[in-house]
Amino acid sequence: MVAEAQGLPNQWDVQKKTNIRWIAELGTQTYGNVVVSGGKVLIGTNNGHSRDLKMTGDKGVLMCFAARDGAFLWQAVHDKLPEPMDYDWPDIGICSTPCVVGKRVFYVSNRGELMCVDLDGFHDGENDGPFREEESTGKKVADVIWRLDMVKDLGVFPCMASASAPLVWEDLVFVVTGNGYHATKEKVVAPKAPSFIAVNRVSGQVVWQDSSPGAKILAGQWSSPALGRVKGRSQVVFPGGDGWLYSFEPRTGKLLWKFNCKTHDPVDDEGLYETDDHLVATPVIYDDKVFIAVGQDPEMGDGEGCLRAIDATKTGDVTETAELWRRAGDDFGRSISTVAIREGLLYAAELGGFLQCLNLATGKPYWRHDLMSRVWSSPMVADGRVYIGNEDGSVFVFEHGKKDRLLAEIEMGGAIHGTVTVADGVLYIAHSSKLFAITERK
Amino acid sequence: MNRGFAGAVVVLSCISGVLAGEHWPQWRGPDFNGTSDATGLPVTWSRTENIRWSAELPSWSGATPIVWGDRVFVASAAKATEDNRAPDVKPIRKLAPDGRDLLLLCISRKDGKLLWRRTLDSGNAHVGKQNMSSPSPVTDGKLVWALTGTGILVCFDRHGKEIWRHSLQDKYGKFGLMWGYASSPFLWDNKLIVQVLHGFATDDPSYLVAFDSLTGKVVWKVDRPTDQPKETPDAYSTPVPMRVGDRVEIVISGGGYVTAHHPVDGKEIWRSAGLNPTIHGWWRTVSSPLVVDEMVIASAKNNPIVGVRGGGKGNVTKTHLVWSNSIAPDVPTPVSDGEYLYVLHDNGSLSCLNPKTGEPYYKKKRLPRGTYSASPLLAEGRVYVTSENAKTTVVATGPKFTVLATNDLEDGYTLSSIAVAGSEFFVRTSTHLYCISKEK
Repeated sequence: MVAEAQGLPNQWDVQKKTNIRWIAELGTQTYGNVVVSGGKVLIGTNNGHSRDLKMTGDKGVLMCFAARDGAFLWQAVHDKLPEPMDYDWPDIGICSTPCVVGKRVFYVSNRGELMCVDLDGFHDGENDGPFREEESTGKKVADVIWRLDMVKDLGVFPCMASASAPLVWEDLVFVVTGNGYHATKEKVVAPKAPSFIAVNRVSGQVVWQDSSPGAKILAGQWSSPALGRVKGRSQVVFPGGDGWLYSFEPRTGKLLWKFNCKTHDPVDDEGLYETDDHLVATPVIYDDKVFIAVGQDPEMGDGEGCLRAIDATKTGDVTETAELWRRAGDDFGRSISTVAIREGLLYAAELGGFLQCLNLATGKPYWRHDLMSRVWSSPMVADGRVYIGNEDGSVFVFEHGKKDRLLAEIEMGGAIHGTVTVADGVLYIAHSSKLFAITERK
Repeated sequence: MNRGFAGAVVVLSCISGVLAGEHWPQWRGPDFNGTSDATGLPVTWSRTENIRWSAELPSWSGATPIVWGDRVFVASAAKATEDNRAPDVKPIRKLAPDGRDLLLLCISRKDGKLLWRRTLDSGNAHVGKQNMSSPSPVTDGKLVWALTGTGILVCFDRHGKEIWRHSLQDKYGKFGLMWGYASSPFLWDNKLIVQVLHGFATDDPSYLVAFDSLTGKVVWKVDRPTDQPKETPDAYSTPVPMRVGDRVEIVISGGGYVTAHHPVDGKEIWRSAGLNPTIHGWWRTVSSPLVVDEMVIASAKNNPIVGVRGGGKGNVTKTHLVWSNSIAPDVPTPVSDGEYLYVLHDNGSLSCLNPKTGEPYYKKKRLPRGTYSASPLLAEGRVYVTSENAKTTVVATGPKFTVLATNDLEDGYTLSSIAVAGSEFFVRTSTHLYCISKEK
């Protein structure tokens, strides 16, 4: 959640169109993040403002726009799963944030499919495969390269939503499958189905899989993996719906270490060691450490949470030995946001509506700013500033540093559930139904 | 203070020979707005301080305790047993087990002893964050009426003798709310008025029905239409009265509209849109409308919160919607002393607005961490707000945010709003009913 950029605006106005390069219409609910690559802008949304009148009704949609002017290029449209209340919640659209490598876009559809599509769509005049059975090869539809149906082929039962953001490393794609708890059956109905997978990025074939959270998944698994080098060795860290972090050797899927993030210390009044917290945020690997906060489904409301720094150099169950610091209880609430790290400072948001700036080494707070309403968004540090949005539709711009200096609070006009994205000197911010490209007018 | 119904209270008070502020006869209290004239109330309490008594309850519930004279009426689910447990129909969080039976308890106000207990129905279930005992009872001191989330409406006398009962679902068709039914019955002028605002899981129209409170005979029933999509027709709110000159209108909020109805025949007098400006499909209403003098304050799932002036006719959106802003609550119903409007936000903050203009005096001031579902109470110049973990913060009334105390009953799942009567608070946590008053 850090971008190298310069000349970014800290003032804009969506009503007066000040510093607004373009605005694109999305659906009516948008939970995904904006991704920019190769002059194209991608975002998951729903089908509330259908761009194809032959495909109306509730669907998941990935939209692709031109970065230059916001022109709509193509979209991938996915039907809802049957029984959407259980595992493909109505109207939430595609929640996964895509990952683009070269001309390939990887994302997870609302149907629990890991998708690989062509960044150029059919604008390149080719139907790239192996998948070539698209119903149309029109310019406005997606050119599917391959798809892995994690529900049908891997037996996954997603809880309410499939939301993981794929991660590409060498020839592998890592993703959290979204296997989850079945609310009405009161159990994990597919405990043996994989939670974490590595897939060949060219063929879509599963290379390795792991079902560690299994029957202990508490709700959904909506998070995403992170990959980094620790003491010169690559690790892929998966956040589990059982509240554990799992780190694997990325090539083989061999478990390196695991850490129980939902622990109490000391035990609570009733002698319990564990909370109902799990991991909705995405881990961040930095300087041989992993940083992540626990949270729950935002519908469960606010409560006490725990943000930790974990030593990633150990092996085995490291719950008792790898914690470097924590900020917990009343000092840090539940969170579904991913932390941002810059120059010895760590920015972390609480769902209840606070942004904190902490000392990266010690976890000691420098400041905590009240953002007034719920925060799903993650802090983005760029150009000496910190950007973050809230559910009331405001974007806050802070000066990056140890002092709490709010530079601007800007109304966007709709609930913000994603993170401010920075690319090529442009800020991209989506609220529930619109995507804004924001840049300093020269 | 907002004195819209002081007359009604005085009449009732004369009958029972007690002072105003002595009762809490229905979910938002004697004036239908979360305020009370009660005095001599404690500012601080804990499990060991200022507790007159506590009574263990069979189960958690969203229903508010109702107080009249020497009795407290409490709706509850039964205690769970090994072979009798309410099913989880559509839970969004793990809820403590409770039984299938839905109960009305009558508890002695003096010492918390159970006086009688009646079973209303046996269809309890967990839906969303609630069970099927969310509607609060209502009493006039002689009779008490209880409604379950399963639509069983029963009238008892104060000794627990059943007078009449109806099954709304048998009579009028299945409820079709996404998260189960939760509106409280509303007593007005010998009529028990019940709103069923639904649409998510039914094509049947939403309706209002008025029963003769003594006999249970249907006095009127009207459709309460809405054109809103999906879940938006669903409402968990409760009707309130509004005085307009020398007459009274019944105000309903839900389905994207505020409407006002004639109490004699239920006919709609006016309606205002403005609660769901983007025609969102998932914009159900939980908080109830609040009447502050000539204004109705209402909101749905989230922003906006609106102020609609009464006294109109037909569609008044363009003429009577006076203000609208983004300082709305989701679940808690606001409270007002007539001069200041207090809005409690679910994520743990309080705002103070001018009820006539919506202008904030202060905005989203932080309370102790937690989720807030209970509605605020205003009495003796103080606002009391309770979180789901049973922490009640006491805030001074007025345009400055001043916390006077935070009182922790150390409990896990408190949904119920506080009731006040005489010099006593009645606070329901997930396990107990506490009677709280100053130690003498």
